[in-house]
Amino acid sequence: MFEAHSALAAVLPSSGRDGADGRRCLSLGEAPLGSLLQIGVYPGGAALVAAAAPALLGGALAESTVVAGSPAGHLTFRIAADQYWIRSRSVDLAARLRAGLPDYAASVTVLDGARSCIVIDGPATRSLLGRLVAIDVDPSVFGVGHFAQVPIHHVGGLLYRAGPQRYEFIALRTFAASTFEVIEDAARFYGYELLQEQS
Amino acid sequence: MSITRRPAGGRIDRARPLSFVLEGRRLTGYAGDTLAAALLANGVRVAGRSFKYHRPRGIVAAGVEEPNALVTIGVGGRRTPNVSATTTELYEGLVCERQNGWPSVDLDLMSMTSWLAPFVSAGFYYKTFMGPRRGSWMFYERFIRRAAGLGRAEHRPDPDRYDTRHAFTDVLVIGAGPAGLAAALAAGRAGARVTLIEQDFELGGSLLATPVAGAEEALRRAAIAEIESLPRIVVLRRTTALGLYDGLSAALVERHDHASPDPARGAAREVVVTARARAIVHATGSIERPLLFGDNDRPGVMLAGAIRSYLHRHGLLLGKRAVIATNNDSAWASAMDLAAAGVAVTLLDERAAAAPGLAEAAGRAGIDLRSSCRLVAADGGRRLRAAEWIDQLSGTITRTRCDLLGMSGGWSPTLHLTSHTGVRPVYDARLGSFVPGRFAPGTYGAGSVMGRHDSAWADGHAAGAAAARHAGASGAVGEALRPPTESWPSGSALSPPDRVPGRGKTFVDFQNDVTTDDLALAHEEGYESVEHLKRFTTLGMGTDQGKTSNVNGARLMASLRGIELQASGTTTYRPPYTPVSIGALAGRSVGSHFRPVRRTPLHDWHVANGAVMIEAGLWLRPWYYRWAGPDPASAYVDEMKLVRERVGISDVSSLGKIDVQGPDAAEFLDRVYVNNFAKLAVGKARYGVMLNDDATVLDDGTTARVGEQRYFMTTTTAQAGEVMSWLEFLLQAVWPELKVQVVSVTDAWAGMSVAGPKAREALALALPDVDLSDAALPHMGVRELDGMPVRILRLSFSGELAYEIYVPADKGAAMWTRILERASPLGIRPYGLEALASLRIEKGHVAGLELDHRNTLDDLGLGKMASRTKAYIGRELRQRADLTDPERWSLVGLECLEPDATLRGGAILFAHGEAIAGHGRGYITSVTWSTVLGKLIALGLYRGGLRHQGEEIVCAYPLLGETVRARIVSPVFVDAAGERLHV
Repeated sequence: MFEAHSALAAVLPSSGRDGADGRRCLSLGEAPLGSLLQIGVYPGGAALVAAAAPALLGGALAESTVVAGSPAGHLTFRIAADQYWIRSRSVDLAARLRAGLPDYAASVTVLDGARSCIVIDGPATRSLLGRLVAIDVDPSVFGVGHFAQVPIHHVGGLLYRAGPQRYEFIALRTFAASTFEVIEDAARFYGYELLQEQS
Repeated sequence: MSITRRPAGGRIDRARPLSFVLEGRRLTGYAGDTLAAALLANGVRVAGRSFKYHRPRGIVAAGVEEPNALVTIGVGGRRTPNVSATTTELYEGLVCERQNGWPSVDLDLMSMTSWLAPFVSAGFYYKTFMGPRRGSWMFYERFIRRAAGLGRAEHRPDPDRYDTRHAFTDVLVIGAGPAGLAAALAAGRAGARVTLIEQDFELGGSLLATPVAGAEEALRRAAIAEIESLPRIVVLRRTTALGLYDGLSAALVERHDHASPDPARGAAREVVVTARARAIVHATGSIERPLLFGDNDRPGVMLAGAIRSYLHRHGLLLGKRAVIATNNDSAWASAMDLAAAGVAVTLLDERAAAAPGLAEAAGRAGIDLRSSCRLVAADGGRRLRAAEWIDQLSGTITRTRCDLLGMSGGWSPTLHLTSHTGVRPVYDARLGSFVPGRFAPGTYGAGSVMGRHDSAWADGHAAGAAAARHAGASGAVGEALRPPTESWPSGSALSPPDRVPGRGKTFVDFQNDVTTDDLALAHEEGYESVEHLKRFTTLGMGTDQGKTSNVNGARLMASLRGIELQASGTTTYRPPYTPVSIGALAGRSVGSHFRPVRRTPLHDWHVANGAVMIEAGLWLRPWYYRWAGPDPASAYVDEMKLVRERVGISDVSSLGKIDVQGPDAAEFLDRVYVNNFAKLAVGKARYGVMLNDDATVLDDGTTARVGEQRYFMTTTTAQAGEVMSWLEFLLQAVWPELKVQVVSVTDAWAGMSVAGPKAREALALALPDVDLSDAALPHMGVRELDGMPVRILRLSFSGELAYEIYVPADKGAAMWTRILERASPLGIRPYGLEALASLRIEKGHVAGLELDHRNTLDDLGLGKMASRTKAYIGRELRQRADLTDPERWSLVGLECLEPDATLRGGAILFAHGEAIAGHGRGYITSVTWSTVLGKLIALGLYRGGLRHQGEEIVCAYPLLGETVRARIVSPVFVDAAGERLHV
């Protein structure tokens, strides 16, 4: 099998750097995305998909378009009225979904290598995000588990709050390096450590 | 103007002296000083020279309204002109220079222009420098601009960093004077998220001009302490609201100059903030108006409130003998405080009587009070010598020696920001000023900006509470902080518009050198409306945007016209409220961050292996590889030869790729494409063309059927986004009943084209287990490999035997290197975009340069593709007469007939012998050197198209004066029979 190559391989810095006040208030890096699938529901197929989902995913697909669902370890994002993303560590989920969902009810598209997951963590994360995205990330508004489809530097992606201070930006692969460069540039003011997460 | 720093007092930190440099002279101030205060403390009376007449000008104000004291700050690329000294916080090492004087501001030879003043009235330039010929202005302009104007822009790169950010809040309070402090406190107590912004580096607004030991100061400190104790209040000092916009959003600018931000550590000099609020409280206060009298611009003539501010905030006594002239009560405070500080004060009040008790208090303070008296003129040059004033009852004119002249012509609410969202100012005759009109829901005003000068604390409290409620915060707001007395009685009367005749010029707008005579001339010549007045005289233009002059100017013009000020109105206030640097607006979107760039999954390999990259739209693509030559002109030819003679590999990942799935996918594609896709067999691909709904060509590409109800569509690189949006629009708005889903998978797949006579051999070496025979994978065939997400399409852009191989994006580099390594015995090498594009020209394939949304199928020679039996988008409109005209510009091939000449893209085409003029008969879209034919060839659009095949024409490039002969030929230059594709 072919070896995978990260879209960020050439732009991830080799080390962190101090911020304007000499501290490092952020962690930056790339996280393994795992498997990313898109389910598209055809007109009239919603009930069939909803009925099939618990058996296939271990839970229902998220109804909310702002809060991610997390059935059985998968993460589900309702990205449009009739479209869902499923992020999973399961390598055979696509095959199971294709087999389990009626082909007259929904489509399944594999987007595994199509996105890169950029991680921002640390106490200055929300302040940094203020320089990058035009949404309110105050904890009272954007809680853990919330997500939003927003552009960073003009290019759309999905921002997910994975923890109290941890945010993940799922960027288009071909723009990921450019997006990371902009994030890294904005992060210089706060200082950052390099985050290295293995799959 | 005898200036002394008092030994104690003020809000400065005397333990922290700061040195700064003015025109090479090292001077000293204190932390807490503005640059203006520090200049005054060092005896600098002339702050600059005026715009047109080069008159010496002193500091007039103590805040954002300052018209005169514009300085240039910084050195090298950091030089910033036209910075207001009154709003610049002093910091260690600040370097500045005054402006508009030659050879110096103190000795300005350009002041001779003042002698020409009678000849350079308003409108002089427009009338004088337009002739004698059209375009003459361009000749005069450079000389005029050298003589007049303010600071000079810096051309060297700015090494500083600028940034932008977003902020969200429940209640945005603009201004931290008493009304703003009270509003923020009330909203914060109610539990709202509050952002309080203040353009100054200290909170307090007008309170900063009050005695440090006074009751108002105690109240200020109490309010600030409580504000800082509330966790949901964010206080932004040194932050100005530049503009207000729809949806309760505001543009703010934060200034960090004082901190000497280090760009290497990511610190920004200025940050533009886009703030979005649920409610906004305007607490922007008001601005004191000057009085109109002769030579009212002499250094030493200042706003009365500013004199008080410098006294209490900076401990500066700006004179020993002062005349204070006013038409309202507020200036009495300045007179009293000066008198208390030992200054001999004469107080001129235009009115017969002031508020009860004031006259007695002035008497006790030893002030020489003169009621019903008005200023006539100031006397002085670079420093003030005396004031002349008239007793309006007796008509007697008196001259009083003085070195400081304070004036107060009333107060104008600072309603610039309120006007930005379309709230028209309305005139309040009782107040003698304009106030904001009716606010939209969620917007509130408090204190002086509403004309409620005397109840700022209570007013702010009420506005803050209402704003918090509007934002959904329902906590208790408690009692308003109440001062012992609500500040000084202020009033805001307007002086009579008539000027007492006297000597000298009477300036209405100091910054633009606009006088009362200029206004009279504007009226005489018919420029009567405030907007015309502004353009004719420049009143209200410049960096201060008429903050001290607009109301006086409008008042004068209304008087000249014999109408009420309300009918005259004001000019339209627009953002920005104060000047903002271009750098701040650009933020970090400069240099490599000017725009996002898109990298293919193979980008890193290209960079590491000798590719020279080029921007193609947002993409970075390999232009050519150094193995083929040191420059594109030589390299692409060798890369073309490689493909024509052996085998090459090229990165085609940037092609748009769309996953089309669903029971109705075939029907959907049949409607979208002009040709048939419903009958396409699984495992086969087809070239397709789609039209816009006006029947011009939208895009072309190859679509493969990879399943019974699944297609893999490719689009051109340039139109990928547009096609995806088009398909989504059709499914959501036109045919929502179709059971189809489309997903962009451009980022999911890396694509590479292996092309050339040895392409099959090369791929067989890389994928030995795959049957690539013509029978197993014929031209336009598709294979998906078992157990491996690899998709192979046999199709060609170059005209040679070729395969497009698609693999998951993260595996692209591995597949690419495998093919290169395993097929190396065949001499395979990568080829770049230049060769790719040239090969397709030889083959006559249209691409983005021909697919420009203006051409029809027939124009491009593709008309025969269109189905006659099915419906598709654009079918009916294709039949319009204009689109079927045989004389339309249509695709042709061109061969250069002059061996030493160059064909150029964009060259205009003319018939042989035709005059080279006008738009011609067409133009060249694409040009290349043909390695097959050994000559320059081109594709172009020509009137009548191939009906002129064989004719000699002329390709003209007027920009370079070139004409080149060429012959019209078929656009397919190589292998017209397609034999190379079917080996």
